[in-house]
Amino acid sequence: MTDLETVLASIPMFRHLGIRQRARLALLFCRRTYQPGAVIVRQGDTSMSFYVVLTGKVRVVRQSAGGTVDIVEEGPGSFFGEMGVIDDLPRAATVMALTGTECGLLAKWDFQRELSADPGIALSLISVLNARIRTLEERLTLTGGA
Amino acid sequence: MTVGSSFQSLLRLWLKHSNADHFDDCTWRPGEAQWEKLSEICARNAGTEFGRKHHFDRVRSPADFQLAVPPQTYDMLAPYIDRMTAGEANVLTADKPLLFATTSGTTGAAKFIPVTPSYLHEYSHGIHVHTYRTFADFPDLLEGRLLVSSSNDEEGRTAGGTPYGAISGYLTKTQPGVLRKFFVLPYEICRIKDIESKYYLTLRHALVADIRGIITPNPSSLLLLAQTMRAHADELIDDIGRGTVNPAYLPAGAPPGLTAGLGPDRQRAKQLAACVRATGSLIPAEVWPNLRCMSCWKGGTMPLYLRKLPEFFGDVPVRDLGYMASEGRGGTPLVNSGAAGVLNVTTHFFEFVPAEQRDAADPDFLTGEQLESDHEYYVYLTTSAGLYRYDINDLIRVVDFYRHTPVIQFVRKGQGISSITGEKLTEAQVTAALLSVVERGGFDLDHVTACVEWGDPPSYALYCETPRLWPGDMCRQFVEAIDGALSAGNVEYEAKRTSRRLGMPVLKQVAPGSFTALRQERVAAGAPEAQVKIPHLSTDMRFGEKLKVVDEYRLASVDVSP
Repeated sequence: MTDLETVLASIPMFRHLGIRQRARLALLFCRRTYQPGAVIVRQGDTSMSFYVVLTGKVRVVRQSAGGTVDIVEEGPGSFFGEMGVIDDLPRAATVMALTGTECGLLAKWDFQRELSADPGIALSLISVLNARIRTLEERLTLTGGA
Repeated sequence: MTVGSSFQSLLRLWLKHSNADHFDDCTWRPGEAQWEKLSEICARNAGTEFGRKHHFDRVRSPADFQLAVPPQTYDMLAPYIDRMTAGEANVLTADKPLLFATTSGTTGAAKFIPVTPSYLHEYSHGIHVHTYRTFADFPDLLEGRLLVSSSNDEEGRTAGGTPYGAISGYLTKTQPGVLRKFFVLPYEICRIKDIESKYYLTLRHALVADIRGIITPNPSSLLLLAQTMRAHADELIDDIGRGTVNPAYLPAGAPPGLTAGLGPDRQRAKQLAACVRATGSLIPAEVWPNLRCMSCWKGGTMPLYLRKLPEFFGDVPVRDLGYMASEGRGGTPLVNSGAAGVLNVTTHFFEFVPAEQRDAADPDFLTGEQLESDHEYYVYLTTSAGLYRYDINDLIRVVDFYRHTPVIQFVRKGQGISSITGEKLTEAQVTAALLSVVERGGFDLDHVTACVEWGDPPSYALYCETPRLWPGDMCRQFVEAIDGALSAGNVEYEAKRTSRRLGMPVLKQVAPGSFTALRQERVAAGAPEAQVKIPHLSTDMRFGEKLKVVDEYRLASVDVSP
């Protein structure tokens, strides 16, 4: 089984945490496994958890009036669902498992409690969200949408 | 902080310690929590006729229970329930029913669900968890008042003398006095049968109050409230200014409680009149500027109504009311996003059959922790109402997980499928097609129901109520767009259309008010008003006979667009 604490250490938001803090945070995660092709979360659905990919590979896609757009493919150490649990809006994209995948799930209020308790996590999250916006802008530019 | 906010904080604290913390803790260990609930139900009812027959006293695990009790339908339980309604004790439940909840009557004949004290406790637990989270997210709700609709709890009495009706009315009637002052509607309103009177009197009470929250199961009720407000603005303002109630809306022999506290409020009447001068009408967003949130069903067929709410209520957040029925409460929404809620692991015992195994001889019965994301399941309930492994005929989908507990969303009733030529058209597909067509084409629709129309070939008739009659071009665009959207969403429908075994849909525009009249008919037949759902897909071949068609559009059959 993949060591959750090791994966958390590779995530920018949690990199600054000490060993004990990471161990405590890891206890708040639940693990779930997904078969290849399984939809992990679907665009437009209720957001209740933040996800970290522990093993395997996922594809993020977004439906729009023009059809389905592939956003990104990611592997261990990537994460998704942070926006929905912060702003209480439906899932912004669909994420599906490309291979057998294991994810760690952190529930909405457990995630928010960590954000409130540790400004370092919140600050790192801002950088992550900025990077997401830049990626989307680049993609839009490439597809002529901007 | 005002008295209302302070009271809300205290109430929230009580809800946290009495219900919410326990529920939250159990989401870490749903299997254990479900076994605790099941063993409690079995222990309490081991001495009942059903409990003895199925050896509840020997149940030591969910697997034991599954071996001891076969899955039940209402028809299988009906002989027991009939004896209970006749007054016999200790049949399905050890505790005596306080009332029998009648189901909404959306499908088939009304069913009688025994509402025992322990069932009411289970049912209220889900409400308390929902309320706790809502209070946490909207901390000044009780600085104003809440508009909560309820339905008649006493439609009549059974042969044994127990009342039957809606749980919502019973909960309103038995509300503690300390809470009642925060609710704007008197209990007596739930007993009014005439819909126009009920909504007029609801507004007569609510328009003089600072409404902060609205709770009603069906979003179409919110639209009806807004439409009644617009249609009767002058009468309502006149009544408010003079402290009267137009007798046209007072039922014969109206109890004093129905109009209690409705004194003259000239200042409010002036404010409302100013709203009418400024906007041309009374609009909820204008008359209730402090409205913080609304709660209603958001799943299944509801999105078609939800999309119209902003026109009347602005951008007020809407939280799903939860997957619930008279038979039980399945999920509790804890956030505004989407239409799903966390499985009520502390409320009833739940089992699930994968959708694809519904008709299998020996389907897998799964428990909550065995469910998978994005999969669809049929729900089986075991509750303190004497429903054991009860097939509620609801299809749900797992949309997320909260810790180890699935987050579920109602999809549709099981029988919401129509198949004339093997197309297996579901209500969810009709709703999705309608939503996509309405959003892309800008069609203004109030209500729609599709149902089979026999012919050569057979086709689907779309009974539509629109604010104004559509011209021929618009009818053609709508019919073609719906046909295309149904084909895109259902390959069997597309194949049957291509092979011309199914004809092009037929558009039948019905007279204004037709669907409200249908709703009134259901209420008169005993369905709880707040819960009446007119389906988007009806399998009742005579559905159209109840509606007055004012225009019919039939396009010559063409192949489906590629």
